[in-house]
Amino acid sequence: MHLLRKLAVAGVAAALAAGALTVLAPTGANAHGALMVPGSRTYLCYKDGLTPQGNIVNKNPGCIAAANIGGTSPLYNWFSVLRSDGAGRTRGFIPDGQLCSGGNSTFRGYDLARADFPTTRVTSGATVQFRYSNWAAHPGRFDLYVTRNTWSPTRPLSWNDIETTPFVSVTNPPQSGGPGSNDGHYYWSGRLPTGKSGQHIIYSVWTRSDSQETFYGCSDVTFG
Amino acid sequence: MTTFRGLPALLRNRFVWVAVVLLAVSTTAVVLLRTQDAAGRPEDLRGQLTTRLVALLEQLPPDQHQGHGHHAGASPGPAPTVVCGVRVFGFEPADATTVSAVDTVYAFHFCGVAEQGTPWDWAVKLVGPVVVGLTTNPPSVQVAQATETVSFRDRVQQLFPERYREDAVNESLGEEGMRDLRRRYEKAARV
Repeated sequence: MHLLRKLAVAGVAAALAAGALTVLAPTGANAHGALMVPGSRTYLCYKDGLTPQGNIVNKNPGCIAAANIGGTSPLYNWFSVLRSDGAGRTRGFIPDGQLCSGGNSTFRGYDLARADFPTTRVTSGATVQFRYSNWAAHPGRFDLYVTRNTWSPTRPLSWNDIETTPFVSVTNPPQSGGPGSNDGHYYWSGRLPTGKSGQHIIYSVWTRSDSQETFYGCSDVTFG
Repeated sequence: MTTFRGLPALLRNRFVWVAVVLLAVSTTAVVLLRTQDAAGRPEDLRGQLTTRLVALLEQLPPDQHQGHGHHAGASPGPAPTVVCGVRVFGFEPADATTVSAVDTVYAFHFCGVAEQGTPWDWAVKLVGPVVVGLTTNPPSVQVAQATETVSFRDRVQQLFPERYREDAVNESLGEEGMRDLRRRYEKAARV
């Protein structure tokens, strides 16, 4: 049960116990991982909207459309696209059309089939350093997949749009910056897939080895 | 008037005292005017409602807000606290002049779970428009939140009267409100 629901239940229980507050539809979120380079949709939409005061007012049209579906609350917890019961499962577990949210309804807005989410420019076949936030560090494996050349950003992302084998896999990579620091992250080098051009999605899966919790995310990239 | 004899000459002048009295009367009038808004309601009613809602939201124990036990323990040190900011943008009945006369409050809330040493950017946050019913004990709080089948925008439409919907989706406490929340968060989280 992800934190939104945990918070709801806990909030109601605590409030009723305290005799002070009835929370009918509370909100919340949590946890701790998302691809920062290339940035996931939630991370880049968070960066897109972040004001100097610390609230979020999106400018990017894709981010605005996502917020219309889920509100901006999920963006404050951009590192929380997770399934507590994931156990590393992908195909057959996350429904088609819900890959970018990991099937987590809190982040449903980021499943939108749009070509105008913030995008990172990359070079096909280049070796790059990937970065993944380590807000709360845990041992585990990172797998990065890429969309097939037949994929179109104008239709919902399905498993058939994703190449079956990850182009990069790494277990327990090194970290830079302490967990909970502003830009603390895991990092590792890997080669981007060859034979790619134009807009694609890099799909990330972080499978913790110390629990069933699994993180999912879409990073919009343009191969130049 | 022996009373005046020890005073400087200026204060012994009756016209000065007339001026002082007039100034006092006009100042009182200005103060009275400024404690009412354009509709004749006490200006600080929104402030009082804001204080009430902040207290309401912050009283939930931090661990209950956090919920996700193993993450709550990610930062060693004292238990986290919940710090909230609230922007009240409406209430019913609209002609209420006291908190006790208000049945429903429409507001935007922004709460952060302040764990020791956790920077603002990484704090768990609870954000969104809320409808608070004050006629029940305990009060009811409904947060406009998307569900499996209802989008955030549609939920706002369901919960908020039309005149409040634009305010409801205005993602802000205002600059000063955000600065104040950040200050309180950073003090609580000691960052």
